Amino acid sequence: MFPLGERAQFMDTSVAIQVEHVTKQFGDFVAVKDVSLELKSCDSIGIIGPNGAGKTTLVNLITGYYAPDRGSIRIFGKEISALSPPERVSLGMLRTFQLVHVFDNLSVYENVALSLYRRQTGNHSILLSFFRTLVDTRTRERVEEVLDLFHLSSLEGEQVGNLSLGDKKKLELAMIYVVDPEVMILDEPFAGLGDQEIDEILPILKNAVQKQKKTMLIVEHKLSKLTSIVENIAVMHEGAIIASGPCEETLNHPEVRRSYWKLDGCPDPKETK
Amino acid sequence: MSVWLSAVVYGLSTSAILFLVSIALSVGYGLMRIVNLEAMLYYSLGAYLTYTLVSATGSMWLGAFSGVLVGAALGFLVETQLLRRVYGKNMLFSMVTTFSVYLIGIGLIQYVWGLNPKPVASPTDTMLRFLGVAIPLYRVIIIGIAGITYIGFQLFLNRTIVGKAIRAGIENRDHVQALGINIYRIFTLTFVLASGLAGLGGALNAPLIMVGPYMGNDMLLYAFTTVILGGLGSLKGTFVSALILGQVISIGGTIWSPLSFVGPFFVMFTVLIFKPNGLFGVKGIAFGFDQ
Amino acid sequence: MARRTYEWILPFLFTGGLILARYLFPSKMTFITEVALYSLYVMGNNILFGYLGYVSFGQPVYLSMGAYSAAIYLAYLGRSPLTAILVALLVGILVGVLMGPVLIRLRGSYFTLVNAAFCAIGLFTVERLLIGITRGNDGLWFRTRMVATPLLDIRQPKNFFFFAMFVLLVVFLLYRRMDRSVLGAAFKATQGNERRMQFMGYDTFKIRWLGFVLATVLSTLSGSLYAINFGFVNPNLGENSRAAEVIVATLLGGSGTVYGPFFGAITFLGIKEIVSQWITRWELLVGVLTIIVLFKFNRGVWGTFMDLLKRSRKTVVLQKKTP
Repeated sequence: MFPLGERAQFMDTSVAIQVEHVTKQFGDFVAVKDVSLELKSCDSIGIIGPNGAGKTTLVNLITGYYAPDRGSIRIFGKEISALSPPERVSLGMLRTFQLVHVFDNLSVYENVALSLYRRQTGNHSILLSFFRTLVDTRTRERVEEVLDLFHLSSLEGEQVGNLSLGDKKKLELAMIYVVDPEVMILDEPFAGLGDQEIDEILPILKNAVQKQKKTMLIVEHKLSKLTSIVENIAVMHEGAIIASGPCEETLNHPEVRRSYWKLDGCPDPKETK
Repeated sequence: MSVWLSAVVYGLSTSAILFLVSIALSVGYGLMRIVNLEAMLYYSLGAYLTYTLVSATGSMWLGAFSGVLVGAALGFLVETQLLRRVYGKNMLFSMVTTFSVYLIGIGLIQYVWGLNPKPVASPTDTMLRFLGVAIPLYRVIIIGIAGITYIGFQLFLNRTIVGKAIRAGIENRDHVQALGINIYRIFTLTFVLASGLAGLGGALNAPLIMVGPYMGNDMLLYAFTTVILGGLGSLKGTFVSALILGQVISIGGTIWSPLSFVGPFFVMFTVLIFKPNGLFGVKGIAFGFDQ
Repeated sequence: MARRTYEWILPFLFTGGLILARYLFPSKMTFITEVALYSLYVMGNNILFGYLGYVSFGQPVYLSMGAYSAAIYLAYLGRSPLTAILVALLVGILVGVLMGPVLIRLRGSYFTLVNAAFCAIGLFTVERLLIGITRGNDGLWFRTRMVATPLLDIRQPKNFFFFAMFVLLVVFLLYRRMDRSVLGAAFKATQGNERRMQFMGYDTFKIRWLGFVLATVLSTLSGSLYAINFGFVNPNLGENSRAAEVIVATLLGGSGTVYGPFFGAITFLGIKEIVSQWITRWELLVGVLTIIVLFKFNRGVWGTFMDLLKRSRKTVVLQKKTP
C-alpha cells in the first residue's frame, strides 16, 4: 500500500526489527540495559517479564516514544533512532498502547477510517485532506469489513467516548489492523479484556501471524494466550533480555525458570520423574 | 551614570511588584494546574482600596493591609465556590473561568469607582542619597517588602510541613494525597496566600501609577510574561524573571521609551524560541503533553 | 441518514434567513451585517478552540491586522476594496505561516498567554509605534478614497450587506466542507489524542499549523470587511480586553460545530445590542455570560439543538421498533 519510493529506500527487508545494544536510563533507573533483539520479517515474538522489567520501555524505544541513550534500532535495515514517530510509521510499523489511545471525540467509524486514510495517501496528506472525505466507497468497504471482523459493526456510529474499555481496546487494535501494516507492535492487547472479548480477538491475531505471515511483536502477561499466537518468546528481567527463542524452549531455560518463574533451585519437574 | 543607577533602582521596584503579583499565577499553575487570571482582579482591588483609604484616612498602610485582606477573602470565595469545579478539567476551563471572574470584577469596579483613573499620594516623599543619586524611599521600601516576601515564602515552603506538602504537591499531586494530606485544603491555603500577595502588589503599586479599571490588563500581560519567562510553576523562576524584566522595562525604557512596553515581550519570545518551557520550567509540568 | 441528504441546504437557509431578516427589520441592517462579519471571526476562533482545543486570548490582533492591512492599502496604496480584501487575506496567510511555527509549538496555557502578549504588542504598534501611518487613536479614514467595485458598488451599506452575505455563504460552504473532510476529522483527532495521531503516522505539528493559518485567515478576512464597512479603522478593534468576547461567542454557539459560530455571533451580538441600551461598559455581562455558558450550557445553542434533534430521532427509531 505504500508509495513505491518509500519502499525502495529499504536496504534489507528480511529483518524487520533489529535492536542492537540499546540502553535507556530514567535518572538513575536503568529501564532497558544493553538489549539486543532481532525480529525477521514474517516472524512473531512475544515479550514477557514481570512488571517493571522494561518491556513497555523497549516498545516505546522501537516506536519512537523516546530516543535510546545508547545503541541502534533498525527497521528493515534503516536506522531509525533519529526519526519521529510519524516517520517510523511510514516504514510500516504501527503500535497499540498499554493504556488505550483512541479518539474519544470521534465516532468508531471515523477512528478506523482516519487510520486507513493515512495509509492510503502516503506522506503528503495534510493539505490534500481538505478535498477528501472518510466516506468514499473504498474506505467504507474496508472499514466496515474490519469493524465486522472485530465485532464492532453495531457501534459504528457511536462516539468512542461512550464505549467500554474492552471495546476501546478492540477498536485500537482494529485501527492498526485496518491498514495492514508490515510490522504490528501490541502492548498488552489483552489487559482489561474479558474472556469473551479475548476469544473474539485471539483468532484474528492468530490468523494474522500464521496465515497472513504478519511481523508481530506482542508484550503480554497472559502467557497461554500469547504462546498460542507467537512462535518465539523473549523474557525480560530487570531491563535485560535473559532468554529468547522458540516458546517451549525459552520458557524452560534455566535462567528464565529462576528469575521469571522464581523456581530458584527447584529441580525441573520433568527431570525428576 | 546617575541615570543608569536610578534606572536600576526603578527596575528593582518594578520587579518587586511583578514578583508579588506573579506568585499567584505561578503557584496556581504549579500546584493546581490552573491558570489563575483573576489574581489581576485582586491586584486592581488592592490598588482601589488603597486609593479609597488614602483619601479617607491618609494611611497608605491601612490600604495595603485591607488590600491583602480583601484579596485573600475573595480568593477564598472564588477557590472554594468556583475553582473546585474546574480542577482536573481541561486547562481552558480554568483560564476561561478565571478570566470571566476578572471581567466581572472589572465591571463592578467601574460601577463603584467609575472610569476615570485615580491618583494615589505616596506615603513618603523622602529621597535617599546614594552615590550622588536621589532615590525615593518608597521604592526602596517596596523592594524590601518583596525581598522579605520571597525569603518568607521560601522559608515557608522549605521549613514548614504545609510548605513541604505544597512543594511535594507541585512535583506530584498523587504523592501528597497518598500521604493522607487533604490536597484541597492545601489548594485553598495556597490560593488565599497568593491572592493576598496579589492584593498587596496592587496596593504597593497604587502610588506609582494611576489607578484605573484597566490597570489589571497591563499587569496581566506582564505577570504572564514573568511567569512564562521563568517557567510556569517555579517560584525561583518567577523571582529571577521578575528581576530580569524589571530591568528590561526600566533600562530599556531609558534607552528608547517604547521598549519599556514591548521589551519584556521580546525577551519572552526570544527565550521561548530556545527554551519553550521558560528559564526554570519543568518539562513534564509545563508542556502538559503526557497528562 | 436522511438528515445528511438535506444538510447541504443549511448554509443557504441561514444566509437566506439573514437576508429575510433584513427586509423584515430594515432598521436592523447594520446589525445583521455585523452578524455576518462577526460569524467569520468566530468561525476562525472555532477552528482553534473547538476543533484543535487551543484557547487564544489574542484573537483581536488578527482581526485588527486584517482591518489595518486593508485600511493601509486603501489609504495609501490603492483604491479598490476588493484588492484590499485580497491584501488582507494574503497578510493573514503570511502571518499564519510565519507566526504559526513559533506559536503553535507552545502548548495549552503558553499558547493562550503568548497570544495575549502578541495582541498587546499589536495594539501598541497601531496605537503608538506606527502612529505616523495608522494615525493612532484618531483612526485611519479612507472612505472617500475607495472606488466603485464592478457589478456591485460595495461602498453603499445596502450593497455591502449583500456582499457580506455572499462572503458568508462562500465561507459557510468551505467551512462545512472542511468539517466533513478528512482535515476536520484530523483536527478533532489531534485535539482528542495527539499521541495516537502521531503513532498513526500523522505529522500533528503540520495539522495544528494549518489550523492556525486557517483561523488567522478567517480573522483577517473578517477584519478587512469590518474596515471597508466602516470606512475607517481605529485600534479599538484589536483591544486585548476584548479577547474574551470571541471565546464567549464560540462557546455560546457551540464549539467544534459548523454552524455554532454563526449562532454564537447572533446570540452574542443580540445580547450586546439589547444590553448596551442600559449599560455602556459590559465586561461584567461578558464575564457572567461566560461562566453560565461554561458550566451550564457548554453545548451551546447549535449543539443543544443538535442534541435535541438526535434525541427525538432516537425516540422515533425506538417507537418504530416497538410494534
